[in-house]
Amino acid sequence: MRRLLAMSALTAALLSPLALAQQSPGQAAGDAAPSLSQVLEDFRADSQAATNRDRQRLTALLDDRDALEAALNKAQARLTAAEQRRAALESQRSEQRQRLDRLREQAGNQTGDLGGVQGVISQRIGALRDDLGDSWLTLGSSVSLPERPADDALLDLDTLVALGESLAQLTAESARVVRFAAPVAGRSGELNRREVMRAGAFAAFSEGQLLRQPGNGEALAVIERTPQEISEALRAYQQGQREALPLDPSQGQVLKALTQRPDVWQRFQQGGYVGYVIVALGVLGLLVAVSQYAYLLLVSQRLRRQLRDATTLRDDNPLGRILKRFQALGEGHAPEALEARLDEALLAEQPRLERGQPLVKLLAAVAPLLGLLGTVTGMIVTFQSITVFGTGDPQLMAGGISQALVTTVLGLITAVPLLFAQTALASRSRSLVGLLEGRASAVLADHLEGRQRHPESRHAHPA
Amino acid sequence: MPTLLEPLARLVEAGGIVLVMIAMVAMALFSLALERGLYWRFTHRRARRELIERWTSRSEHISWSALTLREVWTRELMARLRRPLPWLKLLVALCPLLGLLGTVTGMIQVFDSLALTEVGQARAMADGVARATLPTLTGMAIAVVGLLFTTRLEQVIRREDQRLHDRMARAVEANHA
Repeated sequence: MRRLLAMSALTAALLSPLALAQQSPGQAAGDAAPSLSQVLEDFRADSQAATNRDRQRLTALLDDRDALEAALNKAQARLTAAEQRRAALESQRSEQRQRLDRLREQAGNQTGDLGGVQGVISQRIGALRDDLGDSWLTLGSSVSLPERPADDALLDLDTLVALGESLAQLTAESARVVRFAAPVAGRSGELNRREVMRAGAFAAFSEGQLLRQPGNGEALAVIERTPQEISEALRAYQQGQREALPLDPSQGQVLKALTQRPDVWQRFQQGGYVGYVIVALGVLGLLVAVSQYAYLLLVSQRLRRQLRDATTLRDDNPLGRILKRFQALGEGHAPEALEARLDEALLAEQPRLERGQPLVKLLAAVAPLLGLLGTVTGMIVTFQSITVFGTGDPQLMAGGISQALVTTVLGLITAVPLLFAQTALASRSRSLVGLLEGRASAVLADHLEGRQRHPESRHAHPA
Repeated sequence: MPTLLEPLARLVEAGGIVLVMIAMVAMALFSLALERGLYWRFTHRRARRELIERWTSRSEHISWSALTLREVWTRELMARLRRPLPWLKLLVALCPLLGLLGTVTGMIQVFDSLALTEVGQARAMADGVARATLPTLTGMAIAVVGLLFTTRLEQVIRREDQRLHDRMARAVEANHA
């Protein structure tokens, strides 16, 4: 029951705005009803007034028939005058056309097949202007390109002679090297008056910097980067110290390629972290090798001094130390025991001579491996960029590829000197150890023989 | 003469700087090999004869010290014969390494020309490809020849070592008999 009440209340609340809306047009109609009928009245009155006015004008016109007649006559007279003038103009036009046709026919009769020649010539001149429009030829010389002829101009001898002259001058200009002064925009954009040299149609340069091809009416400007050796050659040529001149016959393509090519330092940086690690390890290995080699050189020098002067044993070389130990041993040992002592003493000396070799060997083996690692990481970068950007632009992949290749190169380049160093160390230390061993054994043998029998001379066979 | 040298110059141009390096390594390798051959033929034989004479001229050949001395002498001689062997091996190992280096630098050149010129310019890449393949080829070829030589040299030295001992022992036996 309560529910029904609530619903009826809701319906009432919903319906009430509807009822209001239905009510309001009725109220508005009630307000506007007098004005609408009034508008209708006004309209009727207006149309009535217009009809009356027209009727009055019609009667007035009918009354003034003479005036109407005069106006009509005037208009007709104007029409005939205009028609006469039109006829005169048309006759004049046809006469002129006839004359033009006659003249054309006459020109055609006089020139014969030259019409085709003219077409070819104007086409040629156009092509020449297009080709040489941004060339160096007109720079710093009085020669100008031949003018493009008008479409209906007649071919006459002067044009042909001028064209031939101009072509000959351009050809001559392409073989000349000229010097002149012109405002040149530097790299930062400031204009300075500089001495410019132009070599034929190939290039222009100023103070060792190549110039950009001039656009129409723009000032000359230097290109972004002239390669070092080219710059030096150009400077020498401009100062008259050299006969040869570097030229770019491809109109700037090769130069652009040269300036885009990375130099050695940029290449090295392309290797990334792996490249730095490889080079750092290589430098470390070389330092170790050099210091150990210097130590070996010192030892062999001291050894040689010891060999020259066998009577006084020194402490600063391995041979002297070994022999001193023997001297300290005293008499009465079995040869086998002495040999064992000798081996022991040699073994004690060996590590110092072979120090650093394992590290250098390891680094020589690791450097190409690291290069391979760099290759793989570079490939990963490449494939990532392929995943993101697709294969459309090879430039996006270039970074990874150059990292891959540069690290391999670095690894190989590092491995080669390390291998050299390792071989040098190994062969020198081995020869030193062999020398020590031989000399110590020989001294021991001599010593034993001298003890057994008459003192035989110390064996000094050629080393 | 220029006509003789011209193919060489063209080869250098096609192979690049790495090929020159490989050629230098090969020259060092083969001159070392030649030097070993000459040494073996002239100096070593004389030294061996002198050594055997010195050994036979000794008064006794049986004691420990005599044997030690003999051992020391032969070892010294063999060490002199063997001295350039590590360098030979190094040069042989260097050849394929340099060949690989040439390959990679050639590849860099190929990618450079790819980046600079239009795609599909096979002619622009041909130069780099030649520089990539020629050093590998020559490096491998030289390494194979060098490897043959070094193994042969090692074998000769090992046999010579044994023969030297044999000869010295036999010389003494002949003396005593």
